[in-house]
This record gives sequence, structure tokens and C-alpha cells, in this order.
Amino acid sequence: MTMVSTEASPAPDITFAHMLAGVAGMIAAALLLVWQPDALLTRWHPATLAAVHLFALGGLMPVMLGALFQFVPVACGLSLPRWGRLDGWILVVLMLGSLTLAGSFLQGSTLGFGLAGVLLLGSLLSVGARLAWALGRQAGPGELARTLLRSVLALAGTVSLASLLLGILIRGWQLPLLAIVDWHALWGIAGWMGGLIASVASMVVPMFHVTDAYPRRWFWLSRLVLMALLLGTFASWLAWGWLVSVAVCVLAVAAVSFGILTVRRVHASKRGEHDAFHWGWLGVTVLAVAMGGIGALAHFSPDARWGVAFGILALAGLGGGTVSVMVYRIVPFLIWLHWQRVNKARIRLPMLHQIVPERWQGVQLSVEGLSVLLLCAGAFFPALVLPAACGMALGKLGQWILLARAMRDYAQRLPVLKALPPRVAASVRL
Amino acid sequence: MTTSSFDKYLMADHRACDQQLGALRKQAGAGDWAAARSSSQALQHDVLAHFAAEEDVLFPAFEASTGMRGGPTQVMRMEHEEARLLLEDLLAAVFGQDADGVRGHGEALLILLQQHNMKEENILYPTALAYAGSSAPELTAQIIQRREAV
Repeated sequence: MTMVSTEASPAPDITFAHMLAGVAGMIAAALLLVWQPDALLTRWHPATLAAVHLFALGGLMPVMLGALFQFVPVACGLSLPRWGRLDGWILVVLMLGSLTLAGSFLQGSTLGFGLAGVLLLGSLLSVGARLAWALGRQAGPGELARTLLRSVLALAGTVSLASLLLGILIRGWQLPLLAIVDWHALWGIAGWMGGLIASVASMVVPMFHVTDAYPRRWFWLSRLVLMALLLGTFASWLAWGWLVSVAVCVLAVAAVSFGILTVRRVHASKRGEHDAFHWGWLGVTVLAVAMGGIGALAHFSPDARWGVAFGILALAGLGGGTVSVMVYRIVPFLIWLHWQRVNKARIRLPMLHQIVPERWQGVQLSVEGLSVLLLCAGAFFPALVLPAACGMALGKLGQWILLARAMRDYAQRLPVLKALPPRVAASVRL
Repeated sequence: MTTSSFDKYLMADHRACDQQLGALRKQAGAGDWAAARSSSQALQHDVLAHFAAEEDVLFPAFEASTGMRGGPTQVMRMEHEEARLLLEDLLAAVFGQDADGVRGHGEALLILLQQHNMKEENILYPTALAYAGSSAPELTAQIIQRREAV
């Protein structure tokens, strides 16, 4: 058995680089909608497809991977294989792949799709294989490692369907395009992103909000998600409409159940603080409930605009919102922890809520939340898309500045703390 | 506190300490410094007693049964030391009626303890329980005795 502490997880620098790159990717996606605000009139608009993939692959993905580099060793006691500078290069390849894919959607370039496919498959498969290898070695009976592993399998499913779509776009393969597009999106949203959020939340919410644990039946329900995705994909391929509806309903029930279970826990939190972390989690769980409901509506309604609204709620709402709330915990804590470990002089360090000023966290999260709601409404009232996209771009730019300033302070203060002489003081022991 | 095995006992103790910390932060936030002082001392006592039960009973038993002396338990001891220092800072903030300090040190202590507890609850306790085998009830009794000794 190998047990590690946060000291054994990758240096915070690589996690910080992933987070800054990811937030920059989300800014780029928002700016794309500022440039082409009529994109949300249909999900098939090239700018919509470009913005969606830029947000998901160049935005959410790097932040989630950066967080996993820290979370997996701590939560599962597993040491991820260290690849040194290669981690940085994988991030560069992922970002280049995302930009190339977005550009290919805008220009309809088959050559671009091929290049993007190589870059993205290379980076995602290497990261996914590394996570799967580490999680598969989990020594203990941990439920968390199993749920994380299911999310990695869902990432493999998403990438597999993406490969088929690239085959259709580049080679003209005769495959059911609509079914593959729909289920590629659902594998990514419900399986990878949703699965990751739910599995992390099932541990983080009870511990960090000081609440009751999630009930056993929730873990039972979450196991059905992967089966529903498999079932729905094949049923959709074979045009078995009723079975597709069953699978969609299972996914919707899982999203709504997760939202309700989480919102009840956060509301009853015994942590003793009603700060941005508290309100942010309440916000994203309400979005999870709305996403489940609107997802079901999108499936059963002939009005295609519900599908656009679902996609916005899922990616910018649940995905982007969760990422925003979590980076305001992860980044200040990593900075504080690495300062504290070299603070032998025991001088007073900035507090967690001062490292990224809490007031600005609240302002940024509010701007982002309002932008998501406006963007969602923009699916029905196109005039709202431009102000919503401007709000999202500004909100994410503000977040990038807040994080970058905190990381700069970290880098400047660390050598100063290391150079200070130690203070001799005995800690209290019982 | 009574329970069937030491893992459940220690996990329940983690939750109890988390709730004490939450109550302390609420009291400090409301300006009830007399209650906050009392809560902070109770919290310090319970956290240190929990650490003592692990360091004096569980970790030596784990090391003896698994043969691992420099790995998991060393990491856990190091993190206990970090938490002890943070507890000192938190108590100083409470006794200095420094509400901002209580918020900052309280949140840092919560996160530090939670990431520590995750490792204990997901890896160390299940492994220690598996290695303890038929001696688990005896080990549980010793841990409870040490935890509740003072």
C-alpha cells in the first residue's frame, strides 16, 4: 500500500498552470459568442460548436485535470505517475488541440479536424490512461476510486464517439450522425463531467461543508449512469426511441437527485460560515436540478431551443460554476499550505479568504451566475446573448486576474519565507 | 462514545471535531467570545486526544502488523504536527478576539483536517482493520481507552 500526503502530489505550479489555461479557454469561448451572438439560434451553428468545444476542452478540461492532480493523491491515497515537464507539454497540446478544433468548426477545415483529432486524442488518452492506471491500483475498498474510475471510462466513451464523428467529418463514414452527436455530448456531460462532479462532491460536500454523508442509494443510482449511457447510445443507434427515452430519464433523475441531495446538505451545513463557498455550492446544485429537468424537456419537446438551453446550463452552469467555486478553495489552500510548510519562522501568513479576496470571489461568482442565466434565456431571446456573453467574458477575465495575482504572490513570498530563520517554540501536546 | 470497531469510532470522532469547529466559528462570528473560548479549548482537547490515540496506539499497531514504519504513519504524524500548530494559531485568535483570524485559521484547519481524514478513512483505517484481524476488538478497546483517558 502506498499512502501519500499532499507533499507527494504534483507541485502546485502545474495545477496552477492548468487552472489559468482553463479559465483563459473559457474567456475565449465567451469572446467567440461576443463576436457571433447569433450563434445560439441553433446548436449546429459553427460558432456554437466552436465555443462549446473551446469551453469544454480548452476550459473545463484543464481545470478539472489540474484539480485531479491534487485531489486523487489526497482522496484516494494514490500517487499519480510523475511526468515532469511532460505534464506541461500535454497541457500545451490539449490547448492547441482545442483551439485547432474550434478553428476547424469555424472554417469547416477537414485538415484542421484531423490535426485537432491527433492533438486531442494524444493528450486526452495519455491523461485518461494515467488516471485509470492509478485508480485501478487503489489498494483500499474506496467507493471514491471506483466512481472516479467510472468517470474516466465515460471520458473514454466520449473520446470514442468523438473519433467516429471525426471519421464522418474527414472520411465521410456513413454513420448515424445525429445519434452519435447527441450521445457524444451526453457521455461528456453526464458521464465525464457530471460523474466527476458527483463523485468529488460525494466526498467533498460532507467533509468540507460538515454535513451528513450521501445515502447509499445515491451511490447505487450513480452506478446506473454509465449503464444508461451505454443503453441510450446503442438504442439511439438502432433507433429504439422508447429505450432512448428510458435512458434519458435515468440520466435526468440522477442529475435532479444529485442536486436535491446536495442542496439539502449544503443548506444544513454545520461548517459555521455562509461565504462564497457556501452560496456557490448552493448555486451549482440548483443548476444541477434545473439541468436535469431541462435535459428531459429537451428530449421530449419538439422545440430545439430547449436543447441549446440544456447545453448552456450543463457546461457554463454546472461545469463552469463548480469549477469556479472549487478553484476558490483549491488555489488559496495550496498556496497557504506550501507557504505554511516552509514558514519555520511562524510569521503570520495571509488567511485563506485574503489570498483570493473573498469579496471579489462573491462579485465574480455573481457576475458569472447572472451571465449563465442570461445565456440560457438567450436560447429563447437572442437579444440577450450579446450582454450575456460579455458578462461571461468579463466574469472569467476577473477570475483569471484574481487567480493570477494570488499565484504571483505565492511565487514572490515563498523564497522569502524559506530564507527566514526558524522560531523556536514547542507545540502543545497532550 | 461506544461503537463496534475502531475505524467507526475514530471516524465518528472526526465528525464530532468538525462539528465542534463549526460551532466555534459560529460563536466567534456572532461575537460570543466566552462561548468561543470554551469551545476552542474543548476542540483542542478532543483533537489532541484523538491524535494521541492514533499516535500512541493505532500507528504502532499498524507499523507492527504491516512492517511499514516510515510510510503512511510518518505522513500522518507530520500532518498531525501541522494541525497542532494551526490549533495554536486558532486558539490565539479566539483568545485575542480576532474574528478575521478565527475565520482564516478555522477554514485552514478544516481543510487541513479533511484532507488528512480522507487518507485515514479511505486507506489507513481499512488497512489497519484488515491487518488487525482477530485482535481488532482489543485494539479498539485500547484506542478508546487512550482517546478518553484525559
